[in-house]
Amino acid sequence: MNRKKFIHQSILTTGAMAIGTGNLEAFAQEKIIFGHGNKRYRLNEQWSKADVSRNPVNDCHEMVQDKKGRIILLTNETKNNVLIYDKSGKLLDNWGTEYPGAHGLTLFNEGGEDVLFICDNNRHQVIKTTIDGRVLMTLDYPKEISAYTKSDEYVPTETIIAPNGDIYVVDGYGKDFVIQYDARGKYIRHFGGRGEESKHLRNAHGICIDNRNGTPELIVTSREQNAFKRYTMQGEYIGTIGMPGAWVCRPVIKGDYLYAAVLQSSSSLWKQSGFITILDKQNKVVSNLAGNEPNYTNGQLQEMYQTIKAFSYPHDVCIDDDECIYLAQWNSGKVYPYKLEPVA
Amino acid sequence: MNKGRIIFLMLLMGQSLFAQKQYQLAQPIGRFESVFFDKKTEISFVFEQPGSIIRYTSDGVEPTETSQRYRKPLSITKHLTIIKARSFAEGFAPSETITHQFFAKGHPIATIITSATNPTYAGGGVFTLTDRQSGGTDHTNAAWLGFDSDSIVIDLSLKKPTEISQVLLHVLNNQGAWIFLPRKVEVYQVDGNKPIWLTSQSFEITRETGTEAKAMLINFQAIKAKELRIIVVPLASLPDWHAGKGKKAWFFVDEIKLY
Repeated sequence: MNRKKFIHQSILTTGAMAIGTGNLEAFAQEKIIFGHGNKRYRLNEQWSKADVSRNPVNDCHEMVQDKKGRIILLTNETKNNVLIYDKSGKLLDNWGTEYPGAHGLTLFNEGGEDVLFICDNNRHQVIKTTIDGRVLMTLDYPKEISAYTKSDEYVPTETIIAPNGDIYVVDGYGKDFVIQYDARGKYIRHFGGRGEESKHLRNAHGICIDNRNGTPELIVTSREQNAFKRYTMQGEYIGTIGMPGAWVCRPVIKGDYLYAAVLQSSSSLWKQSGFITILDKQNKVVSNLAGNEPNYTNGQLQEMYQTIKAFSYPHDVCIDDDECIYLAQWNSGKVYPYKLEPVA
Repeated sequence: MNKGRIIFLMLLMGQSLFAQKQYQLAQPIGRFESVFFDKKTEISFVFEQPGSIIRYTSDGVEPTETSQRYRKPLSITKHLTIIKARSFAEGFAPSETITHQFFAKGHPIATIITSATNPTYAGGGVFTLTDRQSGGTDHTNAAWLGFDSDSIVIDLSLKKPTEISQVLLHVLNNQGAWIFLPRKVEVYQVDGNKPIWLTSQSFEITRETGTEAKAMLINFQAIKAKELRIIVVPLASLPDWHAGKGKKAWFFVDEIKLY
């Protein structure tokens, strides 16, 4: 081989190596922008830097951000039910081995201190803990409600805490009631439940408090009905936000927007057909990440569905102080959460 | 190994990485009134993903990049028409194929009598078996009749003796809910006193995760008959891999047709 030819080939090899070892991979991923309008994102599947041999996950159920800016994940893997990350995906801490049915994770700032509320499907309990896992309070099934005769009938999926400390629990895999307690766990009232009227719920999977329009109100998921339902803080039904085609999980409010993981599309049940949906202040869907472009015909939202198979079964989203979205997924091959960064 | 070959291999590696990292599109959504039609029906598709197109076939072949592009609703007039569609877009792997099959009116059935359904799944009664409506994939839909007996006898009569060579059972497969396709279906002619055996067909049960409403077509030598008996034998014992191992499977049917 003469020298000139050798140099030429070396350059080519270098170029090919750059392509072969990941640049092209990054290029292909970056090309895809998820979502619509001014709510568009790039996906990072490799956000979590956790070591799978030391800190595995099973179903990744819910995520929150604490006052230190850390991202907290709840999984039903009892090796470590709670994984605490920084925003770059570095694992900072982990705790929890006693939550086999870990499902709902809610953070509440109680007089300056962050506390967590965990809903455990298997234990049929809601457990309040400090941010580092010390148990502060345990709520058993609500004996005050005659519809419940034993703990098995109560399968709480999620909580939300009002500024006055009142605890609202949704029994989304049980009897679909919203149960309101005071800060010390004393029963106040219940509402929702199953039935044929608009105020009733079917698979009340999540709950949040919506302050976007001045007066606080509750938004509760009715997942099998593909809807969110609005109630006053005292449990009076206000109205329904139809989410046709979308098995919405918990509503998450950040700024003027409501975000929700969509477990799956009604048009393709139990086939990993999930996506993420975003609603504006008027509760109008403005963007679907890996889903179809929202289409309102004569003011009516048309059926929504997955368009890109980027996610399997999204179960919760957490929006951080940089407006990035973290995505926790159920039954999705034990994958760690993904991160989605907004596109300017 | 010479340098040229190394370059070639690396380019190849790059290509395979590229292929892996392409996201796949989801299937387009097909919309139609019912898979059962009298004279004609229509299917339309939607897939609101900017830059994507839908391609389809009506000859049973998998749609490819060169198949017909979908632009407007497709008219269906022929019994057993199969429409297959896929979404395509630059930078994405094409979707899986979605398949819809359509079934013509068939011979008018005068009466149907079945063995008892399970009371919870009595649906809208036997009339739902000839109402041209499918219950879809939701087994609690009133169009479905659910049976949990060892065998199910279905007696059908026509107004007058008619040439028949095919029975269609529209059934549900939802193994997670213990609903399986039947293991065996037998068809008899019962015009006289003694039933005349026409056919027996056995079916292999395979493990499936999805929920699907599908047509089972039972063909036999054409006969002229006024009354038929169909005997459905569900799976007597759920397979080892199933949560209900050893227990009886359920059988769900929402439409019966004769051709």
